[in-house]
Amino acid sequence: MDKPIEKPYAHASNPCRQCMPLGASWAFKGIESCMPVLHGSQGCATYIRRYMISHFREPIDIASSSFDETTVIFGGEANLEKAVLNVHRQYHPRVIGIGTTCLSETIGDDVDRFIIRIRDKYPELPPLIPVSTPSYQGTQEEGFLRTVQGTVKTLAGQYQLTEEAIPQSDGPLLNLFMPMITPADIRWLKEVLSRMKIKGTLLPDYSDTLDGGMWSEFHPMPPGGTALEQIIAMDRADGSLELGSDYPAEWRPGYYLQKRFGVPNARCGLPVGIDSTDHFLSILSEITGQEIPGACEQARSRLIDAYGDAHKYLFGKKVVLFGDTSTVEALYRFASEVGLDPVLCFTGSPSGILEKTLEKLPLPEASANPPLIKENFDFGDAEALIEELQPDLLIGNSKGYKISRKMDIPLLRVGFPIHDRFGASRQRMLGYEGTASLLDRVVNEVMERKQSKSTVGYTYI
Amino acid sequence: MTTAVPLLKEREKQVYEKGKGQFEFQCERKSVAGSVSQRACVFCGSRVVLYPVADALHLAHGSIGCASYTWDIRGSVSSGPELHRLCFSTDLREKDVIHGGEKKLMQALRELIPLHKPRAAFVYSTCIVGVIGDDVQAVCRKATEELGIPVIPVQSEGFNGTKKDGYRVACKALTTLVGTDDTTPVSKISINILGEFNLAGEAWIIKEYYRRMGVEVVSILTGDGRVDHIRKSHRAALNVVQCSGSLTYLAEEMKEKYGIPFMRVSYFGIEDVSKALYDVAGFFEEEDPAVMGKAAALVREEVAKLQAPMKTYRSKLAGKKAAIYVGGAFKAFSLIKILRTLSVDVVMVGSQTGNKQDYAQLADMCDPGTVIVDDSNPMEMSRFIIEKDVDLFIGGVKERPMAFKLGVGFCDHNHERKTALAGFEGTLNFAEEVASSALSPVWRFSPRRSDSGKRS
Repeated sequence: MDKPIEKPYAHASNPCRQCMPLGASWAFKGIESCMPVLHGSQGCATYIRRYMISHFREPIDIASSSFDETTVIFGGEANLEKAVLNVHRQYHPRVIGIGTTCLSETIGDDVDRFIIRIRDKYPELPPLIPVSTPSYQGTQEEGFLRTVQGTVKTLAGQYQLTEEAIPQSDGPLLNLFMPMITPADIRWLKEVLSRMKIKGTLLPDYSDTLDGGMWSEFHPMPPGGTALEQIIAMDRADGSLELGSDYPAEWRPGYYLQKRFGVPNARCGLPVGIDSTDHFLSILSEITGQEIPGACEQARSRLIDAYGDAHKYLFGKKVVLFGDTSTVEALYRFASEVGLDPVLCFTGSPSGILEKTLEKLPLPEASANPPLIKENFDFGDAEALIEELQPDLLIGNSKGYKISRKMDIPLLRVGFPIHDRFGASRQRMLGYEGTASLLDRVVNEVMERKQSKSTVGYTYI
Repeated sequence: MTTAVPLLKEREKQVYEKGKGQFEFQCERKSVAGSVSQRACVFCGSRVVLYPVADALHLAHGSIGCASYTWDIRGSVSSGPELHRLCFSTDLREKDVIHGGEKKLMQALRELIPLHKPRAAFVYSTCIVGVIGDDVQAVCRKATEELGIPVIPVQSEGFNGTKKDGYRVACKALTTLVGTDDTTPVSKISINILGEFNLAGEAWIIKEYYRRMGVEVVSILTGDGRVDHIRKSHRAALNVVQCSGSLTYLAEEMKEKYGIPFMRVSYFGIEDVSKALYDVAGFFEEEDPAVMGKAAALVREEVAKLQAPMKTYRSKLAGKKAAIYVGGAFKAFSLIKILRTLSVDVVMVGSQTGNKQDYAQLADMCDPGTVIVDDSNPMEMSRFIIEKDVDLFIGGVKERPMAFKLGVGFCDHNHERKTALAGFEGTLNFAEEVASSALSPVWRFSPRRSDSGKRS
C-alpha cells in the first residue's frame, strides 16, 4: 500500500471516521455465532458497542480483554486467555474474532502467538480469528476489510469439513465480499444470487444479525450470519467477486483466495446507478455463466424512467459527498449519472484510493470544474471549503449535521453512522431498485427545499 | 434455548437476590475480561465530568477513536459557548507512536487555542499516551505559559483503573482551576451545585429552585460550565453534590483546602428533590431563616401541581415490573423511590460503579426477590428480564436494544437523554416516559410476551 495521506497540521477536528477496531467488530458480527473480542482496554469495546447500537438499534455484544496497569507492563496474554475462555463459557460461540487495539499493538503483544498457545492449552475452543487492527492506522473501513480477509485466511481450507457440510449445488458456487453496506442491501444481493440460481457465500452477512426480528426466546448471539462451514469451504468456490473500491491487495479476501487456492477473482464497485449495476450483473453472469433474470430488466427500465422524471430537479445541483471510500465512489458515479455536480468528495480514510479512483473517471456532465477530492479529511477541514462552494445538498453520514445546520444546507443521510434518523439498516442504495430509492430521497430533499424556501408555498412542485 | 445462563464464576458475588442467602456483595472490582461489561474506561469517566465545561477546549491526545466515540455524545446543554460539542484529537498515527506525540500535542494546542479562543484547555491522555511515555504535564506547562490560558492535563489513560477512577482524575484537573479567582464577590447564602451536568437543561431547573429560595449558585460543576465560574467556586458557603460521587472527590478536596462543607443530594423524584431543597435550606437556617420558608412554599406549590397527573399515571402503571441498570447507584435509590410512587415494582437493580455502602442500602430498600447486580453484562441482564418477567427497563443506550428484542419497554436515564428528568417537572416527564414505554401497544406483537406476535 502507498504511504497514507497526511494532514497539513497536527490536530483533527470533527472526524469523518472511526477506528479500525470498530470495523473489525462490525465484520465479525456478520459471521454466524461469532463473538468479537477487542484486545485492549474495556472502553474500546464499550464505546464501539454504543456507537454501533445508536446506528443499528440492535443488541451488539463485544467482549474486551479489559487491560489494566499490570497488563500493560506484563503483556496481555493472560487477559486474552481469560477473555476467550469467559466468552466461550458464557456465549458458546462457534467462532471468536479477536481484534487488536492501539494499546495492545503498542505494547507489542503478539496475538498470533498467544492464540497458538491458547489453542494448545484448550483444544475445546472454537476457531479463533486474530486480526491486527491498531487504531493508529487506517480507519473503520480498513479494519472491516482486514477482518474479512483475516477471517478467510484463518478459516478457508484450514479446517476439515464433514461430508454433509461440503457445499452441494447444481448451480455455481460464488464467494461474494462486500464493504460496509446496509443490511437491506445485503438482502438484495442475496435475492439476486437466488434469482440467478447461484449458490453464494456472502461475507460478512450481517443482514439478520444487525437487522433481525424481535426474539421469542433469548439468544446470546443474534441469529443469522455467514456459517463457519461456508467460510471454510470458500476455497472450493468457482469464483469470488469483491464489491467496493479498488482496495490494496492486503485488505482483499478475494485476492488472497485467488493467490492461495487459485479461486478466480473479480472486483467491481458497489452497484449503484445504471452503469454500475449493469456492470455488476454482467460480471456476475460472466463468472457464473448464469443469465441475468428478466425482473432486473423491468427494474432497470423503471429506474431509467425515474431518471427522466427527475432530471430537471437535479441537473447542475451542487452536492458534497462524504463517507467511506466505496460509498463515496458509488455516490459519485450515481451523481454523475443523474446530472448532479459533485463539487467536493471526501473521506476520512487516508488510503489514497478515492483520489486515484475518481481521477480516472470522466468529468460529470453537469460539472464546470473537476471535483475536489480529499482524503484523511474531516468535517473540521471541510467546513471552510463547503462555505466557499455553497453546495445545494450534502450526502453522507449523520456527522455532517453540524455543517448542515450551521450553513443551512440539507443533509441526506447515507452510509455510517446515522445517529439522528430512523431506519438506517433498511436504507437501500444497491441495484436498480436501491438506486431508485436513493434517487427518490435525493429528489425529495431538493423538492422539499424548494417548497419550504418558496414564499409562495407551492402545492405542486 | 434455555434462559438459565450461568454466571461467570468471577462474578458470582457481584449478583445477589434479596432473601436468598447471606448478603456478601462484592463491588468496585475491575471488570472481568470477556464478560462484556457495560462500563467504559478511565477516559470515559473523565469525559463525563469535564465534558459540559462549554468554554474549554477538550483535546483527546491519542488515536482518533477515543475522540470520535465521545463527540457530542452527551445531552449537556450550554446557555452560551458550545466548544464542548466539537471534537478534537491529536490523531496519533503509527509514526507518532514510534517517535512520541509530545511535539504533535504542542503543535495541536498552538493550532487550536488561537483558533477557538477557549478559556482553558483540557488535554486527555488516552491509552497509548500512557505507554509511549509522552510527558503530557510538561507540554501542558509549556503551553500554559506560551498560550496564556490554563492548559490542564487529565491523566485518563483508559487502562489505568475503572470509569470511577476517571472521575477522580477529572476532579484533580478541576482543582487546578478552583480557587484562582479570589476577587469576585459571592453571597453568604451561596452554593456550588456539583455532579449536575445540565442534561436537557436540568441544571437550569434546579438553579431556578435555588433562586426562588434566595440561594446564590456560584458555580455548577460542570453543567453549563464556565471556566470563570469554576475559578471562583471556592468562595461558596456549601457544596451540594449530586450523582453517585462523580464530583465527591472535588467536594472532599474543597472541604480540606477551603473548609467548604458538602452534602449529598439527588434531584430525581418528588421525595428526593424536596429533601435536597430542605437540606440546603436547613444549612442556611441560622444565616437566614427565610430560606426555609421559601423552600417549603416552593415544594408545596410544585408538589400540588404534580398530584393529579401522578395519580393518573399510578392507576395505569400499578403492578408493572421494572429493572434498573444505571451508571451510579445513587441514581438507583431515587429511581426506586419514584417507581414506588408510580406503583411500579422494582425486580432488578444494578449499577456500574456502586460501592459497598451503596449496595447495602439498595439491599435494604428493595423488596425480597429483587436481584441486585454490580458491573453487570447483557447476558445476565437478559436472564433477569426473562426470569423476573420485566415490563420496563431503565438504563442507557447499550441496554436499550436488549430490552426491545425481548419485548420490554425502555426508558433512557443516562447522560444522553434529551428530556429533563430532574426536579419536580422532570419527575412528571419521567412518569410520562415510563407510561409511554410500558403501556405502548407495540409490545402486544412481541413474540416472547404475547400470542399475537407468534403468528407470522
